[in-house]
Amino acid sequence: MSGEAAKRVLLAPLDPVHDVGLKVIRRALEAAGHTTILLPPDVPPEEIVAAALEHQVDVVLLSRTIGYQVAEAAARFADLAEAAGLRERVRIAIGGMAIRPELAAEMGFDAAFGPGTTPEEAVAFVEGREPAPGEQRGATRRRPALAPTRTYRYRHAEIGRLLEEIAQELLAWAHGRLSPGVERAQLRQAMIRAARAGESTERLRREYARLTDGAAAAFYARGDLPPGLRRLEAGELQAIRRYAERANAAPAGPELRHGQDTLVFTQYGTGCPIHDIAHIKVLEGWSVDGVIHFDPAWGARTEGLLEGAFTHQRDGTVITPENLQHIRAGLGPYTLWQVRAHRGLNTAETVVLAGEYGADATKINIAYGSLSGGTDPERLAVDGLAAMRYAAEYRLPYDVVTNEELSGVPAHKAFAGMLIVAHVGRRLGGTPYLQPLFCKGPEALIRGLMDANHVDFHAAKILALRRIVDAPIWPGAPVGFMTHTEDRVQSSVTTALHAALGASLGVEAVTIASSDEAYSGGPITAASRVDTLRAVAEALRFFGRARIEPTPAAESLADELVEGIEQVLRRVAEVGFVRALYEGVLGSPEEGGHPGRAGRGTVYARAAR
Amino acid sequence: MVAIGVAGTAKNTGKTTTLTALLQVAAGLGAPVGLTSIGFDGEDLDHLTGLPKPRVDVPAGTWVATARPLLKVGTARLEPVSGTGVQTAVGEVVLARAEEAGRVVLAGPATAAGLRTVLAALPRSGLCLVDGAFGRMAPMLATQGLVLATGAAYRRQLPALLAETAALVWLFERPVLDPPAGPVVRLHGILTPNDAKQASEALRRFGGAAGELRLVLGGVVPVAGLEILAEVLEALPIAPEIQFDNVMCLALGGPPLKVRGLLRRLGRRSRVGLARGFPLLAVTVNPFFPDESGGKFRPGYVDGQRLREEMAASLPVPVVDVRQQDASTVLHQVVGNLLSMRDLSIEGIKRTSSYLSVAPTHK
Repeated sequence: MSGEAAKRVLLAPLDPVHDVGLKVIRRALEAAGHTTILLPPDVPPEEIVAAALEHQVDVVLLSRTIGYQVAEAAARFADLAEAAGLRERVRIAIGGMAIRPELAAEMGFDAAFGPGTTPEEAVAFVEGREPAPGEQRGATRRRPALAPTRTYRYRHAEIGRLLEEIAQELLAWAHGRLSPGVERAQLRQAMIRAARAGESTERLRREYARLTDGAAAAFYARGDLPPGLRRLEAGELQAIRRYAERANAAPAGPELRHGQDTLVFTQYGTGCPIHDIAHIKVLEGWSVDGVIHFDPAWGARTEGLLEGAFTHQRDGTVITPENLQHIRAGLGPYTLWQVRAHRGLNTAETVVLAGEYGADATKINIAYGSLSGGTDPERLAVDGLAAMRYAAEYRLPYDVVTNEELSGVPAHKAFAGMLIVAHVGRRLGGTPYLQPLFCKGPEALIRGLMDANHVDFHAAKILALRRIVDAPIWPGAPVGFMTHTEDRVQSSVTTALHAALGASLGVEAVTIASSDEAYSGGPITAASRVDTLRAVAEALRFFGRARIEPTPAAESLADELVEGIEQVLRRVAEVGFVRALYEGVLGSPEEGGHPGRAGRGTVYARAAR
Repeated sequence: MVAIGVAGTAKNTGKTTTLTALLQVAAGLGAPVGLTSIGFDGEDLDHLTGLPKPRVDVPAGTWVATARPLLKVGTARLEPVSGTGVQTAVGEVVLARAEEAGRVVLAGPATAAGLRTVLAALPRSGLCLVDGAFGRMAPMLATQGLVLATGAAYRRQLPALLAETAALVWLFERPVLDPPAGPVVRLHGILTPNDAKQASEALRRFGGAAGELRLVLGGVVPVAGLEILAEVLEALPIAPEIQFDNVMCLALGGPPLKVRGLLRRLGRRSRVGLARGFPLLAVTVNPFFPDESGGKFRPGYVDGQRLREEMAASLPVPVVDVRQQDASTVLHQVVGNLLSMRDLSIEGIKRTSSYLSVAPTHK
């Protein structure tokens, strides 16, 4: 700051006690080369004006928490400053917890510094310029990257060897096998590319329609829509596009993370792309790193995806090329987008759509989709492998979930299935993220593993996985699931603590739920989303880079997990992966691992068609 | 444009209600009408009390000077015409024309200089109304006259409300002094007790006869400084004339009763007056007050009829309850008074006899 440009700034708390905010700003002003005069608290407006005149200042910064009488006092200061001739050359601003630009304007001030104002914003005002990028709250946000720095090297050599053996067997088994889902994925990719090239897609679409069943077949044959579904109108789509443009032009919201590298994801899936975009805008307003598309359960059990922009779907937003494109267009520039493809008969095609329409990540898991997701293991093995090949082609990272735990499958078995899928994914050139559950699942309840605290079991999972392989970890999904109640405060707190634990353990990402997700009894509300995000932000702020220390019990549980995983993998290596799924090696029916039935008998040899 | 300011003795004294009543009168003049604010106005709920606020509705054709981000907040279709370069905490003030009638939200210039810039940017002919904010008045010096809104939100007890308002109006009535004939001691800024003592010393050095020496006070004269000034001047062998720049120097000095008392004390030995007058056109009264209990506000009211009658009896300017039926007639007279008092012409206004026949009520 040159001497000429340096300003003289009077800082005065109208408050009878508090002047901390002004002291923080004073430090920033002095660091920027400005001269400051800080008055003690509770100086009357007349004396502040007199001091401003005496010191010949360029700027006066007042602070005060506003109440009815206090606002009058601040307005009186502005009037006195005007009448004393101060306003001809001095700019005045006011800050405090309840200060907003509208109130500052009413009181006669040139600027307002409300909650969350950075000292740099105050410096910019003093210097008579707009805050530079990075000086405003939230303005430092950059689009985060899902590019793990992990090596995927095995620290547990025997487990690595077993996984390679299982992967080779699985890939050999799958060679030459095909399914309608894999063929539709190829056709969808061809249709999208043909349309982009301006070529006809009619023949491809007819071929695609032949490979559909249920609701999709009715749609392609007669144009029937599943019950409740309706097409979005052009005006509706135009309105949401304008809304998204306006929302994207707004300043970035407050920081969610406090220097942590752990990305925070949350899901949407209201059944309507328009509502989804509105929800995404709320999530973006509170600086979530990424959003996850939830689709309806029937979409996983129906051969084929619909085409068109549709709303009024229950239980998630139907995946269609058009719905995904509209949602993509509504996303803010900072937001990562995951389109899940993990469990059903359209797994491979969904990855194609995700890749073609600009998703940043997807979700694939053969084991969970088979044992708890309802899809036949053989079918999902074929489709899942095709999906992983597409993910590699589109460079889409994907998480490999262990939701089997929610059915009661013990963690070591669920982890074994996850590690197999992740290893195969690496063999196919992909970037899999391991997704252990961070929730109070049946195993934890039955064995009392979370009675002492909620830290040790989760920490044990991370420790175990880290001992096995240097791979990125993305706990979910969502963290804190099964610990929520109807109490939104409680649900927010428990979600926030789980997220903070994940960050403390150095995981790459976490997925969180809104505070009313488990008990909403209907649509999730925007307010509940904000609850959770605010709670997570506070928890991450509270711990910062401090670490949560698990007890020695976590080490012991981690040892147990690693040992259990090795034993399961040994058995899988003996029987083969797909057979292991049917035979309960990766989760028996008693444990809640029920091999799914959707798509059973639909795998055929490539030459057979 | 000729401008009339609407200021209040406090927040919630009825500025916006007065403004909307004046707006109706102005709309009937047949000349262009402008509208702006020295604060922020037109929001649904009060920023502090959470109580509903009166809306500001404008007819089509009204010129509106407000911050750019607020152009689309109301229901009136405002077409921006030009920027002004005047900044507010909400954004730059722009001039816009209401293409369709409706509600507007105003954030205008916070200073007199800013208000002058905005007024100069408006069409030359016509009448502009300037809304106040809280008890702020100083920027209103850029207008040609003031309507003062007072009421129970200023002082809950009627005798105190009458006395303080009467004292404030009395300050507006101070005579305008002729230019000084002799030596002048001039003070600027804000009169501190120390300034008062130094001024006394300077006056003492001049010496001379009464009436030849003048103390000119610019800026604000708080009661603390005024008290010391009265004290030190009484100790001087001479009695200089005392001139304040304008009524705002006094009105912002502290409780009007106290300021009036100190001026009367000074007036016992000296001629006391203003360098320039500023017309107080009328006083409007509002029986409403925000009744706070347990941190929550509810609407409260004093006896409106009594308030109006007793206020009218104690003030030398028209007193209006803008919710009463005759308010429009009185406000028409107020506009006429402004024209005849200041010899102003509002181009385009049909100067009917009713405007010109109204005798100034200023005494």
